[in-house]
Amino acid sequence: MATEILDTLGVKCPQPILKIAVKAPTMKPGDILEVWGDCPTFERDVRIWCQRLGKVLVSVQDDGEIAKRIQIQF
Amino acid sequence: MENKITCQDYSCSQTDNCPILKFGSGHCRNISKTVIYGEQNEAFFKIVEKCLSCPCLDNISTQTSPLKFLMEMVRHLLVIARQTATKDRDLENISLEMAMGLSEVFDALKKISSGDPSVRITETSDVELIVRLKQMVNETAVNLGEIVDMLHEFAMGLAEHFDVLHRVSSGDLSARVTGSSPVELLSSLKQMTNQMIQIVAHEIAERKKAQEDAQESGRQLSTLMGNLPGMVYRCNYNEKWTMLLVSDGCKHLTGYETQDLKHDAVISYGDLIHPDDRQKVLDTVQAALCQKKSFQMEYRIVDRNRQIKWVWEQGVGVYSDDGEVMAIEGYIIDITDKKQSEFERQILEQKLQQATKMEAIGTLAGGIAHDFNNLLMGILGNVTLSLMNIDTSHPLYDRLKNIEKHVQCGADLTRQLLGFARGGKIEVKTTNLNELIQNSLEMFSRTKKELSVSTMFQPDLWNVDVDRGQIHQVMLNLYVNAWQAMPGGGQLIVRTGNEVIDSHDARMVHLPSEYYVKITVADTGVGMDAQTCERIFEPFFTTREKGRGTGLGLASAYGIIKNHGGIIHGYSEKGIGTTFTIYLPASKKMAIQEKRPDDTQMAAFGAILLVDDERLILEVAQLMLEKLGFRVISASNGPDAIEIFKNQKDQITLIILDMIMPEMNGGDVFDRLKAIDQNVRVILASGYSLNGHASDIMTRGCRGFIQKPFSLEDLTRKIQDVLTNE
Repeated sequence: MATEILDTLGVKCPQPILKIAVKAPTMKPGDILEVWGDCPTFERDVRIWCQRLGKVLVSVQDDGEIAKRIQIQF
Repeated sequence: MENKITCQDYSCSQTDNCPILKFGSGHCRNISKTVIYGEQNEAFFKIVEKCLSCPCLDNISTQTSPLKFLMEMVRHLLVIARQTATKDRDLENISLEMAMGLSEVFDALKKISSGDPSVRITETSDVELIVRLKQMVNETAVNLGEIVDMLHEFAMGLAEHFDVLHRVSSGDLSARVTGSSPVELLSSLKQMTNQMIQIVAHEIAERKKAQEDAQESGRQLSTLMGNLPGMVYRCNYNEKWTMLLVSDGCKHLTGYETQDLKHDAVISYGDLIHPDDRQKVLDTVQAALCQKKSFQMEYRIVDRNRQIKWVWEQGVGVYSDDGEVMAIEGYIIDITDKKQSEFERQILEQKLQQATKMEAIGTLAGGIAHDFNNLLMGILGNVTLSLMNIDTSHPLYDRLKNIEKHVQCGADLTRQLLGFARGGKIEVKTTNLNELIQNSLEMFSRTKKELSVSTMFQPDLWNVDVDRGQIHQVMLNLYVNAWQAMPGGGQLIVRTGNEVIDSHDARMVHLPSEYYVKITVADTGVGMDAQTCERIFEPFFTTREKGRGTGLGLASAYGIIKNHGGIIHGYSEKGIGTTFTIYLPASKKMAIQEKRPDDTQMAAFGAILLVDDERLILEVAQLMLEKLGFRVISASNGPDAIEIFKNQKDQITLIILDMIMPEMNGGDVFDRLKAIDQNVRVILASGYSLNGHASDIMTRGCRGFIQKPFSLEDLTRKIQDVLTNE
């Protein structure tokens, strides 16, 4: 199982979700994708995406005032 | 530093009440060019007010003084100044409110611009403009929120569709868009996408099933074709018969792998067809294709091991819509075994026909010989007895000797005939043929000096169960035949050997056993053509000029060998010579050494019972036996003989018994005699031999057989043989 980083800092919503969607096909079952984001709806958007696509949201870590690191397991 | 003046310079105030002077600097701050502090600020006005209320100014007496006027002006200015200060304070308050409100609006807009339309600000302010601005910001946030929510919904829907389509493209046809969306377009898109995936999945499943069905059909066809004993093919219509498709049977049929033949990779099928059959194959196929009919044909191929095989092929043309031959499809099987069987069957049929013909001739010849021998017996007996009673100087002696000689020739002739016709061996003894052949050769070569005789005998030759006299006759016949084929001399080569014939070959030649003794008699004579060679065993068939051959020698040899369970065949090439080959079944018994009867020691004793239905034979034989010193009791039929033997068995030394008699045949009589005395000595006599009949009686304990006509000498030797070989 590999862990990959996807940096969407400074990218406005809902672009982080679109970036995750593009990245998703390269992930193998069990892999972890850690997404960095700082747009206001970043966490909410990732949660909804995980729920709708059946992925596991492993953790959400605040990283400063706005920026967050969210781990998704495929 | 510039000199400062004080207000005292203008007002001439000398009072110490001047508050300004109290500052200590001595300079009035309210008058230009004096030392002042903050001309425009509030302190100035306050100071000015203090100045105006300064008591020193009350001392100014004239109203028209410039100072007073100035003071009035100042007062007026102070009033204005006060009013202006109030307004400034109001403006300052407004300015502050606007700054606060704008800051709030700015922060809200900043959040909105960062993508968070959830921000709201309180819509209260002293400044109406700010209130209105805040209201607009909140309205904008609300409106923008809807747009952002929709944008997120689109993004989320797009992401889900992307994921589902990716899974579908990766082969996961179970993937479906599941999320619900308030956006109508996305709902419709979801429905269409799922429907499209379902259709594609169905289509793929159908194709997959069709492909699997096709593969299964192909596998079944391949298995079916592979299990067929022959080769299924599809080939081009050309001279090479280029194979486009061949089944696995190709390997077994041709020795080549399927890929070797496909597209003529290693060899073309046309090259495998026997060169002599190629034109026939081409003509047959062409004729069938012209009529758009199937074709069947038999021809030969040469397989990878250079073995010639017979094949049977059935095929049919495959035509395009415009009638052009596109290919030929068909089936080829190996029929070599069938062809071989047909060939063998033809050979066997020929042999059967030949055997039937020989059998018929044999029966005829046997019948004639029987009657003829009885006649000869009568003549010979009488001549023999006559000769015994006359002196050699008698005028009839030579004539009687001539008659005897000619009767002997006649007897030899019928013996040959009987040799061909008789159905069984008479006196079977286990024999080593090397010795028998050597003896016969020595006897023959003594009289035929012009021939070079050589032998190649196998040491430890297996024994055979044979009638030695008959085999001796066969060998002499073959030697005579060779000698006659070599009028100017030549080589006669006789070989013997042990042979093991496998079951297939044994079946081919109708032989019952696998172990044989082989005899070959080869000459370097004139040889025969094939047609002649086919008829050499027929009785009375001869190529010799009249008087030199009877045509019975080889026929007799044929009959004797056949009756011994063997075969004889001849192979000849004109100008090269002829070779006769005999196969006789080997025996596991030890060879019996022949006891040579001593003619001089013949001691007659006792009585001989002579049984024959022919009166002439009875008379002649009785005289012969009496001549030998025996007492003779005659019986003309079986029952009489039995009765006599029953009564006088102690006196009867030997019985000479005719085989063929009307009331009771020799075999039955023998059995009855044997029932009376187990050790009864019986010699069978016959001018005829039924098929195997004499042999049967011999195996039941009969001591010997004498062929009619017999001479006194023959009779003496046979009686001696029986009496001394007990």
